[in-house]
Amino acid sequence: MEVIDVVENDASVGDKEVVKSLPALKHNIQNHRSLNEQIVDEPKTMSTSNKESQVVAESYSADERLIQSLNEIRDAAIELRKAYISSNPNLINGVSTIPDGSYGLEITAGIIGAIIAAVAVFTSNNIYFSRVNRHNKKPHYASIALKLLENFEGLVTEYWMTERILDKRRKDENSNDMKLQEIRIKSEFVVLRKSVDTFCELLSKNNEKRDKDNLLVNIGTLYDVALGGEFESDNKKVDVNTTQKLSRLIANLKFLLIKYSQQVK
Amino acid sequence: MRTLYIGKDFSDDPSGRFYTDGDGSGEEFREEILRPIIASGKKFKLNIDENVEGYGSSFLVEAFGGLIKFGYFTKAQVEDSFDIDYDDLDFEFYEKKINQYINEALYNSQKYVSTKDEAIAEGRYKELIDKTFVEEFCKG
Repeated sequence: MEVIDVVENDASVGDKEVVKSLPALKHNIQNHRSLNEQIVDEPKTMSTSNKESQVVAESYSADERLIQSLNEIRDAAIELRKAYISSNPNLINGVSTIPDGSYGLEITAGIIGAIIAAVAVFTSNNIYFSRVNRHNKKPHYASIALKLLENFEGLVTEYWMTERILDKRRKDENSNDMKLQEIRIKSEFVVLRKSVDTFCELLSKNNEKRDKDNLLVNIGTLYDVALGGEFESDNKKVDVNTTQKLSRLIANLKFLLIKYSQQVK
Repeated sequence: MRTLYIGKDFSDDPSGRFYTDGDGSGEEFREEILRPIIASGKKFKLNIDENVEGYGSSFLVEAFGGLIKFGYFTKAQVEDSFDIDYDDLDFEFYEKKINQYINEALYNSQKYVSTKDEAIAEGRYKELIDKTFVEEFCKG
C-alpha cells in the first residue's frame, strides 16, 4: 500500500474534497514512473537505432553510385549521338528532305487536287445558278406580262368608255383618236399574247398545267371581248358592260401571273 | 389550188363588223368575197398574214361565223372549202380563232339583214375595194 492509499483511507470527512483529487494525482505519478523507466532504457534504444541508420546510409550510398553511373552512361550516349550525326551529313539530309523522284508526284498530286477542287466548285456553282436562273425565268416573264397587261388594261378600259364621234362639226369629234386607239389595242394585244405564250411555255409541271390552261383561255377570251362587239364600229357607244367584263378578265389574268412573279435572289 | 390573200386581194386593214363601219368590214368580206368563192365549190387557200398586221375579233366573227349563222353553209362545208395559210407563226392565234368562231356559230340561227344600203346612204361605205377578181377566182 502506497502513501496515497493510506492518506485516502485515513482521511477525515472534512478532507473528502482533497481525497477526490487523489486518483488524478495517482495517475500522474504512474506516468512519471513510466517516463523514468523509458529514460533509463534510452541508451539501449539509441544503440539499436544507430545500427539501423548505418545500414540505411550504406544503402543510400549504393543508390547514389548507381545514379551517378547511369548519368555518366546517358552523357556518353548523348556525346556519341552528337558525334555520329555531325559525322553523317547524308543522314541529316535524308531525314529532313523529300527523297529524289518524289517532286514530280507531289506537283502532279497538287495540280490534280486543285483541278478537282476547281471543277467541283464550278459544277456546284453552275448547278446552283442554272437552278436559280431557271426558277427566275418564270418571275421574269410573269413580271413582263403583268406590265403589258396593266398597259393593255388602261388602253381598253379607256377605249370602251369612249363614244366614237364622227361628226366633224362637233368639237369633241374623235374619229382619228379612236382609230389610233384601235391600232394600239391591236398591236399591244399581240405583244401581250406573245409574252403570255412565252411564259406559258415555262409552265411544264403538273401543278402548273391548270394555270397554263387558264391563262391561255383567259387571253383568248380577252381578245374576244376587247377586240369584239362594236370594236372598230362607227356606231361605237360608251359600253360599261364590256368595260366591266374586261376588268374582271384582266383581274383573273393578273392573279394568275402574280403567283409566279416573285423572284428568287 | 388558188390562194386568196386577205391583205392583198381585199384590204390591208380589214376591220369593223358591218358595212356601216366603213370599207373593209367583216360583212363586206363575207358577202362579196367568201360567200361566192365557197359557193363555187372550188377548194382554195386563204392567206391571212400577208400585208396584214392583225384582226379584230369583230371582223373575224362576222366574216367566218356569219357564213354559218345566216345559213349560207354548214360548218363542214366551210371547213372543207379552204385551208388557212400563213408564214408568220404569230397568226396561228388568228387561225385558231377563225376555227373557234366557225365551230361556235349556230347554223341558220339568225336572219341576215344587210347594212350596205344604210352605209352607202350615210356615206360610211364608199365601195373602195375592187372585187372584180372574185368572178375570175371562182372560175379557177
